[in-house]
Amino acid sequence: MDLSRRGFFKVLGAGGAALSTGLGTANASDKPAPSLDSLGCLVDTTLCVGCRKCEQACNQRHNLPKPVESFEELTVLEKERRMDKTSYTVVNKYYPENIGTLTWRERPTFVKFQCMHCNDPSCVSACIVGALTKQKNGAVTYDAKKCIGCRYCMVACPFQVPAYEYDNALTPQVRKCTFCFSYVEDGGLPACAQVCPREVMTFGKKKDLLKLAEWKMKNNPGKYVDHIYGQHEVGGTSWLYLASEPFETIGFPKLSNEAPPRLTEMIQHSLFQYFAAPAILYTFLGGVMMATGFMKNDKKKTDDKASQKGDTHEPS
Amino acid sequence: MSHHEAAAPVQEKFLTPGVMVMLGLMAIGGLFVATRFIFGIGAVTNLNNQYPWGIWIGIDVASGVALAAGGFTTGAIAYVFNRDQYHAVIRPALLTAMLGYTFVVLGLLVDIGRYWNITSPIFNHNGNSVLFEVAICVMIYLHVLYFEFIPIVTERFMGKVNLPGFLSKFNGLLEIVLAVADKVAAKVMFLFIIAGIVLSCLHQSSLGSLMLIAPSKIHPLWYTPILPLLFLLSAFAAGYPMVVFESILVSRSFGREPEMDVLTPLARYMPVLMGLYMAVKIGDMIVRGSYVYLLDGTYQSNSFLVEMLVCVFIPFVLLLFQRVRRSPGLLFFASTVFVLGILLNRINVFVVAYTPPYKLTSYFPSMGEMFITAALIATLMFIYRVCVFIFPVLGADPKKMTQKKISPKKISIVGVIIIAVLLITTPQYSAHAAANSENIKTKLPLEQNITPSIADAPKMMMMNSKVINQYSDLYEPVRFMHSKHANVLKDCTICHHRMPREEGDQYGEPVSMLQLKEKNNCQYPVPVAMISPLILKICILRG
Repeated sequence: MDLSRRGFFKVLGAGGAALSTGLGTANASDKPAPSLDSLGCLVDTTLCVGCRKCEQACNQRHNLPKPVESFEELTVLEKERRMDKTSYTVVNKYYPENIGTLTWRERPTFVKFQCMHCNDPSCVSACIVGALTKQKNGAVTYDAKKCIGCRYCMVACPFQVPAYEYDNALTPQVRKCTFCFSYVEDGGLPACAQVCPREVMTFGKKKDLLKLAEWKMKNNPGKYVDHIYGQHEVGGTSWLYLASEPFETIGFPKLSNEAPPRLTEMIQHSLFQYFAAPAILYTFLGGVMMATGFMKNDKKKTDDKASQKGDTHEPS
Repeated sequence: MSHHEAAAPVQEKFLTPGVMVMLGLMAIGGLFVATRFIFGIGAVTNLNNQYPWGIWIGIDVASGVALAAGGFTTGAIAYVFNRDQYHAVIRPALLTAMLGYTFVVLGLLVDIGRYWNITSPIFNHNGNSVLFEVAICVMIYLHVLYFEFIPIVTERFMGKVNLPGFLSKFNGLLEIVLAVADKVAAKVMFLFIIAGIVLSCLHQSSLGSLMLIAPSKIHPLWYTPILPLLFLLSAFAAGYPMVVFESILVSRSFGREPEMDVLTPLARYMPVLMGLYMAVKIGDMIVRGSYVYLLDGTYQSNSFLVEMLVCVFIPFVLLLFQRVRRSPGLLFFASTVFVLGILLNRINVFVVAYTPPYKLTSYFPSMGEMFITAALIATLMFIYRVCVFIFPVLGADPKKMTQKKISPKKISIVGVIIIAVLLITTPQYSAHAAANSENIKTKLPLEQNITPSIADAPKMMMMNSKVINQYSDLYEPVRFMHSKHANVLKDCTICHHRMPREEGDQYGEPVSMLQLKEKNNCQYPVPVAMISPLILKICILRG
């Protein structure tokens, strides 16, 4: 190797620059603050009677495959279900927890689940290709064209919402509630909110929904537990829930108020800010390489140095 | 590189019983791979909506990357810190890393649903995604590794290009290409070596950040904000044991003397790196207070204990002794255990620690998943063998082993220990899987659910205290017009919940309107008002 000392640094710098342009796509992106003007739904679980009309309406609007049991069949509610490739939303039935020996209320709580459309969605932050997008109106939508099927969104989702078409060999998709994005954009309603005979879901701007939720809680003392699920969970969600039972007993995971992407994005962006960390590491290693005499041609000298340092003090 | 130890292609019999086993595994795995590509992931795996990632991610990808760390760690010590004596292990480590990363990509192709769209991240960027950074780093690093392999190819074929038949007119052209490649590679190789180290540091750590996006799903024993640092340190620590493991294995398989003159000095660094990893991990555990989970006996905490005590602490202690570092058998044993420990760590983080909020079914890898993983590893080893037969990777003029090829005693000892570790761990997982399948949440029918049994009764001590009695007796009896009350409510069961089975029975049977009508509206069960002083007492006792 017959490079001069200066030449070494020149090439080293060029290499560093090449490396940084090669990776230059991972910069910080500005995230719009979650707006209270974005849309959402308030679900009053005390009103729901588990008729499954919302499941049916959703299934029809999105042309999903027909389920095995018809939508009139109410015994399916006896088993806890989750969204899958045939359904973007499910209604579950939760019996009151038996506290001690006495059960005061026999009425079960029905809860409709679907994508919560988080303000700061983990899936959107996680998606390797940006196939999931947080839209301005609050919806989190999926673009199958970009997707590679890594299922990291499913790992990331704190509500375990995205489902996958495991039986499709060629074009499997991630299936999740779209918040009826195209209909809502045209001024329509989500299919579930439109069809609900008990008006369990109220569709509207989030600030109005929060006001409504507080009004309901104030005017029905003792009816609701003092918590609006989704107001603060994982940084807030577009779908909000009211309930008469503690949320942990009706199928809601207990989550912290901090949005999980804040930590990972903080780590990623501080690591790649101006490519400082990789560039410094690159230069440092180059410096060490020089200092240890990698560029020196006379091998003998390095060998001497190595033996002087006592590198081979442990011969076998 | 100018001062390589002489290396030469291996001249041995190619087909051995071991190779036959590899070919067999490859054939079985090939069938499963074909099934996966024809009928989809669901046909060969146990993956589901609760567990989107299984052992294909935990072993093929995460462990594959971690165990290919030998490439950049030997590169660092031989070229950056310029310790000449380690050049002998550079080429095998480079080949392992190159093949390792190639098979990470092949494993991913099997795992991801839209494998034909794998180039999508090149065009669609998400700078916020940890996985995106990992993907780009791995992609570039794979090319860097292939570039670093160029001198080995040119050394083998320069001046010896001899294509058969009509292709022979390209001989001259190919010679020129090789000569140019050799020259360019020699000039800029150091850039690629450093780039390889930087890229490795980046994606080894970022693999650890992957699971940070799911704080509510990862068991607190593993979930820590410094998980990326732990992944990086464990990759550093895994590099040299992997080199030793592989070098001794290869020497044995070709009946050569292990290269202890290189491996023993290399082993000096191993306890330092392992100790650092262990210290940071234990320190983190103490700071976060997650040690409270250590002895709770779940399969997760047991898995953590095996990972740390058996697979990190034991090799760390062993390698502190010079005798261990000098003995090929013991060094091989310590290295192998640590390598298995890193494997277990990655499986733990990606599969064992993962607890979905709604666990409708559980996950245990299917035969298809296991055989495809085994086939990928077998193919890797097979191609490694092909490569060392073609290219000058292993040292020339090997010292043949004087004694018999393999000492069966040592092999059996290692085998027994590995099997013991597996025996300790596997029943844990399978027992957990079995327990889970029983635990699938089915709600009891309503009647059963609300009929209380005496076993559920709160265990409490009744205190006959004047103070308490003073308050509990305050509200009894409450007088009201019963008929009017019943007329308004039209449902006696709101107040009357239980019918006593016999005298003094406080729990009784649930009341229904039907039963009441049958009993001619006369036999009213214990009114709720009679139970209320009891409840008040419980409240006072507890509060």
